[in-house]
Amino acid sequence: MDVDSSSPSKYITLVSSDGFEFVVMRKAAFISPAIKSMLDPKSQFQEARTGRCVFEEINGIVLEKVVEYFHYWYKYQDKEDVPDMEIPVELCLELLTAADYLGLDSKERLLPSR
Amino acid sequence: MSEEPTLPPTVAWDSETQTFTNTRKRTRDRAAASPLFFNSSDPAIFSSDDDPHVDNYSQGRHRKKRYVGSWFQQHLASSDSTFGEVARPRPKAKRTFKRQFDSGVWMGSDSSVDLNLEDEMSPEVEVPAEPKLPLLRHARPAAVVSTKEEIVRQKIQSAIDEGNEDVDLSSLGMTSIQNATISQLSEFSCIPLVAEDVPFEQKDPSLKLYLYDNPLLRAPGALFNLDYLTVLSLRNTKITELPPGIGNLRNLQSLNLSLNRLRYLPAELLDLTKYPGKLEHLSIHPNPFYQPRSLPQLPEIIEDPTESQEDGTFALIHESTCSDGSLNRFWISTDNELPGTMEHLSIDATEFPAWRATVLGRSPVQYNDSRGAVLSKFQLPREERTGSESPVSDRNITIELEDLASLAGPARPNRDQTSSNSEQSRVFSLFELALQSCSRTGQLRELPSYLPSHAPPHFARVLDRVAEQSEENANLGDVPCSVCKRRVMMPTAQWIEWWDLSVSVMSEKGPLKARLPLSSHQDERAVPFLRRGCSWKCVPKPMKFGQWLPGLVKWTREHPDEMV
Repeated sequence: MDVDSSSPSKYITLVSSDGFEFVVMRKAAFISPAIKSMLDPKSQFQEARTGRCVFEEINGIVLEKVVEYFHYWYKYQDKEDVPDMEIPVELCLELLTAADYLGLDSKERLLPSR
Repeated sequence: MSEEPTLPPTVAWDSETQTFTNTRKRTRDRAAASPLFFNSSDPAIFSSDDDPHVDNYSQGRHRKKRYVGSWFQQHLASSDSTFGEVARPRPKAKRTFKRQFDSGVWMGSDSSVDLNLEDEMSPEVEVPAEPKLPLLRHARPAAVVSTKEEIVRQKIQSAIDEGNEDVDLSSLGMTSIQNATISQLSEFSCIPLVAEDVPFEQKDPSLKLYLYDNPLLRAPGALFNLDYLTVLSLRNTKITELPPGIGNLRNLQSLNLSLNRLRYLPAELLDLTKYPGKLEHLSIHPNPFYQPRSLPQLPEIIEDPTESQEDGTFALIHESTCSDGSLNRFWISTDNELPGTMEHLSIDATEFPAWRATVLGRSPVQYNDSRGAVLSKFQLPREERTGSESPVSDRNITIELEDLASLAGPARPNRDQTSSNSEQSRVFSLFELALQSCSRTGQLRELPSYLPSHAPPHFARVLDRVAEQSEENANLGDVPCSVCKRRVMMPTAQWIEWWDLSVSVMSEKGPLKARLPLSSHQDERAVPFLRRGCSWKCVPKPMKFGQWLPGLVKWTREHPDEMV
């Protein structure tokens, strides 16, 4: 998984607490300021070097939905007509927590790009 | 081939004796037939015999199950494929089977005791150790109906029973009315007139609801689901905010909001003034409305029927000629962006209220994130909902104005460099999407108790706010975006617009009544309306001072001698 720091890979890997791995486009995942700072090449986090983030708090089912959101956002970010993304009711509180943790609350676009 | 059943022996016709030979009656297989049913038809099998286990279809006497008690107390003797888990038997008091000799009923068990019955009725009792679901940390508040509420319910019920369209709930001292009480009215229907020589017709009710002189802290949200409401009076209550659901009341003709604590009105109320709306009487003063700072001198409201309307913001929808030869023209104000959407409208009503709403000013936009935290430098004054009796200060709050013509886009709080392409997107944040999902559970009030103990404190606050929104509007808690009409739980942009409103009644021949402003007082002409945007792309469009609200009818008259 080691990536050359000069040209970071287009994809990153997100790992859930129960060991599921999701390979996501770097651009899409960077909507989350938390992930963005984890993978900041200037920081010396291990995640930045390996391109692999492990979330001990998020299980596979929730992380799958989060990853789905990343792609949903990436696909429709410039569109005028955005379809709704379905979120199952039973996941609502866990996703609320995950969204808060990852900073996905529409403030993200304000943060200065480091 | 051995599986095939053997054919009956051939029958031959004996012409001499005029009989069939070999007509020996085949004996029934006594072993296969049940001894109990040999003289009867087969045992009936019903779909209600809901235990399709093969044992039940075995030979022998078909034992019908005897159920005692309600269905949910039943458990099946044999495992059923449709029920995965073993149903636990409920603890059941053992009944002693005692004959009541004076009952006068002959019981089949008088002579013989059915042992099977006894067996089935006394299963091994196993009390479940603990309930499966986690207990709520705080108990759900029981729906207590106060005596006052009971009076209101009785009044509503009697109005429904009598078909009385005037529901007078005024001066009852109610501080709150439950949504369940008001929503009874949605089943109101008129009692049709049944008489000879009168055609039966179903009339839509036109409900009139009077709630004035009640110290209500907020309008019950179920009000805004009553489609047939034509008159609503909330005069002299203590409500601080009118929910956007008011825009649903398309049949409203008269709305009284005087003497309240309203700081602003929902922008959805403006929708009711559009043609062909029915709203004719609107009383909104006095209220401690937000005042615009430094408003320019307001022009006098004069009906100038001669002014030309060729500038493109108005579309001609009707023309008629008067007896004196002058030409009546009706125009409808349009959105600059969407010309032609009003084409299908025409003046057909003989009499209709004609509103005039012109924009006077706009506040800067308050931006916040989906958690409700304000991010922009400008903040709308926040008023916490005060307790029941604490008086709200009646002082005027003034709000700064922003240039109407400016595009309210890049008013970001911190002037950092942001990538310009991703900052404005219509995609809801995941937090917002999760909130929408939360509201679909229908248990917004209970959700905070399911949160883990280490959850951030603002979660409960956000969920409470959404729950409140849901009760105010009697819906899922989502509010419409003023720009794109998408439903959103947490609007991320909010601003206030001041409009000048006046109304007259128009007919095809011209105005029937003089144009009437909502208040004769000059200071009260600017009425604040709160608008909400679902994303940071739904922000106010540039407007001109005095620009008309789209969808309003304007009337002009031209004399033929003036026309060149």
